[in-house]
Amino acid sequence: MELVDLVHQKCKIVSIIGMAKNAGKTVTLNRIIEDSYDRDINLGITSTGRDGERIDVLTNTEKPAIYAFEGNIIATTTGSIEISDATIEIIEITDYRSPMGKIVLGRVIDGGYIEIAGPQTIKEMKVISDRILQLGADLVLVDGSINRIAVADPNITDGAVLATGAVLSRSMDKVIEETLHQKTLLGLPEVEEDLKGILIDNTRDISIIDKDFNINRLNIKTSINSGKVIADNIDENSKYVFMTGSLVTKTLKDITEYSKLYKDVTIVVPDGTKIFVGPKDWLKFKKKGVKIKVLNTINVIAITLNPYSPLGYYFNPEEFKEKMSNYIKDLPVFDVMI
Amino acid sequence: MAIEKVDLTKVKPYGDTLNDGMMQTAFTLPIPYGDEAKEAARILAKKMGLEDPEVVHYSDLGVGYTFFVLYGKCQHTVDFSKIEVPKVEVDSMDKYGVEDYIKENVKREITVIGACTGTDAHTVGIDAIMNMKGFDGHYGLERYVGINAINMGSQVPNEELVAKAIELDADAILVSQIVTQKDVHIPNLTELVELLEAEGLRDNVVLTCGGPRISHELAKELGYDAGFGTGSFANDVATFIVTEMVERKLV
Repeated sequence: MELVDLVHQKCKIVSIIGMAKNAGKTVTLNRIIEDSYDRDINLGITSTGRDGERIDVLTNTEKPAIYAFEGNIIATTTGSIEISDATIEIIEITDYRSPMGKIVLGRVIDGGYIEIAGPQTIKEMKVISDRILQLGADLVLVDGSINRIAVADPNITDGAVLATGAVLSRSMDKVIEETLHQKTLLGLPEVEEDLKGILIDNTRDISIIDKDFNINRLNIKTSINSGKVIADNIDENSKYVFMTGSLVTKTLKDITEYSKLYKDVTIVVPDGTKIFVGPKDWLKFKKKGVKIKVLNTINVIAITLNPYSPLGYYFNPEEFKEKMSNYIKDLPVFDVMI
Repeated sequence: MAIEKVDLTKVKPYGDTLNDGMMQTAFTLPIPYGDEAKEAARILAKKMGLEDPEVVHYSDLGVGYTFFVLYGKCQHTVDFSKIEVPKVEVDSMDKYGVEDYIKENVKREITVIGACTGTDAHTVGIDAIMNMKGFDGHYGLERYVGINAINMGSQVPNEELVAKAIELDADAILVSQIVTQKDVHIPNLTELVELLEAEGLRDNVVLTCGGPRISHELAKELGYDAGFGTGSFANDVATFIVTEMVERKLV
């Protein structure tokens, strides 16, 4: 089964997120665009960054162009419309702003190469993606930029394709380690349905929940630098610690240092994009017995590989794919460069 | 005024006659001083596309390295008439203009937090924008009436910056960063965006970055509202922040 079939089956709005710049997001996007055309799936296309530019702003290397077909609906900036080859009917100029001009919604009248640069924040991205669906797209592709993954939040997009590649490191093992870690975070298991309902309905604050689902709302605006406060509030009856925003390494460290009871609670975060803990620290915390769950698991549809690095080295494509597939058994792995 | 007319579609370096293509280049090679080194430099210049390259000066740098200055004729031309460089469209207000704008349109003091984040210890940029004394005749944000400017200094972890922004309910964040050739600071810049999104703050702040290699295109990819490169002053940054706040209804 091709990537496009998996994506189209499971999602209306899908994000293509990457482990780094040049990990192959645009190539993945292009593959889905071409295959959608063959299957008569009308696409909406947008990006959190900028795509389809011919030359990379950082590495000065050539980048793949993006070809949009007649009927596709795109959200891009006024600045990008001017330099696109495709003929685009402008449907709406939104109030959303970017360094490259306002965000514009348009319909491709005559196919051609386009530059895509969409909304800046994830909330804006949600509004724009929903609008694209209303305008008649069957499937919206939200291309990520660099290593930004916030758009994979399940409240924004309903599935994600994770692009990874040789650009991360000259060591294939390191690339696999980091990719596996990212996939683990994105796919963290959800809390039980009843608890999920209680949390969503009853608290917008960082809270400690006991075994009878009593909620102790802590008077802190963020968990950053508040690990000790959180730890001090954990007692024998505590069962869950609910984080409303981010979870960073230092907060976890402080909780495990200041509370002996950390093993008895499950830390709950909204979703995997909110966790900022590296692979090594993550394994350390796991070993110590830290339990972390999420309100919403991210639906990772597939992993795509780019065995080439713009720095001039590459992996053996077969070996890379085989090794990655051995570590990631529950997801399809595609080499998009073949 | 030159008498001969310049063909702007085929511009070439000027030495002492128009279109002679004469240019000078200088570099160091990691090889010991001597005739072989001089020949190596000449061959390299030829490969670079210089016609009749000539080593006019070379000196021993010690440790087996040699420095060269060469003259040669450039064979390439540039079509000057086709060049387009995107310029920032907003006309910046000066300090007093910004202060009046805040008084009339924002009607309260705004809080701007600045920092060099991650491993970056180059504070020249952020100081030029924030410091009361300012830079090159442009006072810094600390001197602006209506702006509460906080400079957190260098090597500030993204988490600390976000915690400060939450504590002070900041209106704008300004990150100064040297984007190095090896691009190690890029993930650091994107991590801040991701943290702000995770904390649910991204829509409530004007997020800008600045530094020598930062452009609007790069800012777009990084997820920042604006990027300020070399030659930007405090009033340019302040103008952007206050007008953006009003446009995005963050007042």
